[in-house]
Amino acid sequence: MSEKQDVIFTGTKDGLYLVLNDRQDLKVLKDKIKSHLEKSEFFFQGAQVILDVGSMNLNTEEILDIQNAVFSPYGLKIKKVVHGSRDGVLRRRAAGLPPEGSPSASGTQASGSSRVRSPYYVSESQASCSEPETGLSAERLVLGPCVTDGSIDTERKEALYREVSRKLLEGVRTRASTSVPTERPSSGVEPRAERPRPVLETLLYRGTVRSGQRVYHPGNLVILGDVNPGGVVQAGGDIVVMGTLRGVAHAGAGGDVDSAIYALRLEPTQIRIANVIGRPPEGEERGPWKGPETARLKDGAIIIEAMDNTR
Amino acid sequence: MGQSLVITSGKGGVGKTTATANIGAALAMLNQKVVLVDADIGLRNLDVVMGLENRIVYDLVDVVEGFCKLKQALIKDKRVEGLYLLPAAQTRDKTAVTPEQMKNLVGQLKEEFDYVIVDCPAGIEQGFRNAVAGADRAIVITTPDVSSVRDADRVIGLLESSGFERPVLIVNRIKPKMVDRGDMMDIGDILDVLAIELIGVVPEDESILVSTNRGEPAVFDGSSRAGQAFRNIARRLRGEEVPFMNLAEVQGLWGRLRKLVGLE
Ligand SMILES: Nc1ncnc2c1ncn2[C@@H]1O[C@H](COP(=O)(O)OP(=O)(O)O)[C@@H](O)[C@H]1O
Ligand SMILES: [Mg+2]
Repeated sequence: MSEKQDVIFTGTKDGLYLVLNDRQDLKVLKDKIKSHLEKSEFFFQGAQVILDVGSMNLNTEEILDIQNAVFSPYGLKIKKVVHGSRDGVLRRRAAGLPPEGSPSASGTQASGSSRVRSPYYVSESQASCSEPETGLSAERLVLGPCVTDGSIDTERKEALYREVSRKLLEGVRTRASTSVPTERPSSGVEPRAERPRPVLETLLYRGTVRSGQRVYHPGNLVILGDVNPGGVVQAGGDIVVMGTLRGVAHAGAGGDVDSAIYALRLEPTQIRIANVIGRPPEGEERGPWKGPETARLKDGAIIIEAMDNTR
Repeated sequence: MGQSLVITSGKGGVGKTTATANIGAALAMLNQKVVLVDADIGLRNLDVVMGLENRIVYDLVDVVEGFCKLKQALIKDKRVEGLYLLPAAQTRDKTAVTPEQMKNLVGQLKEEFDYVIVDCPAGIEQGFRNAVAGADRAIVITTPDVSSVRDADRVIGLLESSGFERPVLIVNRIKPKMVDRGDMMDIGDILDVLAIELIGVVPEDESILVSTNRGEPAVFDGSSRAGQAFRNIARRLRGEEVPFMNLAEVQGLWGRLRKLVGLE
């Protein structure tokens, strides 16, 4: 009776390693992966996936379809597709080892029955981000662990982090025009070109998102109610809260840096746009309500503006 | 290699989370490297009590599911050196983690920290089993009322049958005046029933409420009596002999001693 688990998630130091039941229908598998990703609160941006399809043979189209329909909305990228041995992976997992065929296991490659075929690259790996030695410091948390722009080198990135977090701590809740200097970093970063934004489906959610609840939508998300502390709203595109945002809101969860968050009243625990994380400055008294506000990214920092000041 | 403690009670609202935050912070103030683990998945609180809620990016479930590295999920407390929090997930439930996984996780943390303190959820179901899974020692906390003591007794039984040799006891929210008037169980009565070693008595103290709302453990406040009691508990956990705070709290003990030596 013990039904074979259709999708097994294993984290390795290089990303996610997914083992699929090769006897299961592809459609079922896609749904299972999706529902698993949906349940998770993980901040996926930029993580890589190694897909272990066992003895299944997938063509490039099928793989691209999985990438676009399943992983892209979560900012995940299929790095390669391998044909491993399911039992081998389970055995290794039980022993606390990374799956064979995952980059962290290279060197132990020769043994066993798994064979790694030439991988399909959907996208090149991103410049890996340097991680702090011990827990995330406050400064780092303000900005999140990684920027996606591969053109910035690590040192420059660090400097940018510090600069931006300083601005964030000082500038949150002041108007953009006065708080964020317009000077550009002198090198490395190209000014963002105007891009057409994709048209996304919008979900209308009626009701209050309470502590422990999470509303996720790959497109835009409108909440007709409040988002309380401990509640999470997350969208691939923009988020509009027709009430008070007190919990966590994450717009552009798939990496869209042009996404924004709008709220009639903005008092968030934390705001995330694409892979930038911001939180209100500590110990600052909240002034009287100044009207609807919006949070967006400007030069890599989250800034808060009065709604009437935008567009 | 450090040691792991679980703080548990059976009943909710008796002070597990308060005790976890305060004992952890007090141990860090004694130059220990401490990590607090919130095992109350789906009803997390410890982050709020510690004032660290807005710094959460990853949580315990993310670690267990392999979505992030353990170190990425640890939040460093800026107020005292060596204090860290591993927050629980809020939008998941207890079944997201198994006792086996918790044991693994706590084992990993013990390699890095002197103390791993696990805040247990109320109840005796899976959340409880998860929380105790990786613990070397258990601290049982009760308030001086019959139902809380009853639940503590139940939990001590469960702990003993799952191999914990000597759980220790904290009595929280003692009101000396009520004990004096005989309106509240005294320490002696409680120890008579539970018969385990007493490691601390914490008075009812408004400063706990204030500190909870501010997200600042009371041990940081030199004038808080409850804070003092928690600092004493931390020192006793370190193996120091620390006298109990005042007579009102020990009077119950005196009664018990007198009984023992046949004076009553
Ligand atoms: N010694 C104390 N004096 C006053 N209030 C206390 C004391 N200990 C705990 N409390 C309060 O009791 C409530 C429940 O405490 P908490 O630590 O959350 O319990 P638990 O984790 O066991 O559910 C909180 O509001 C807390 O502030
Ligand atoms: Mg609690």
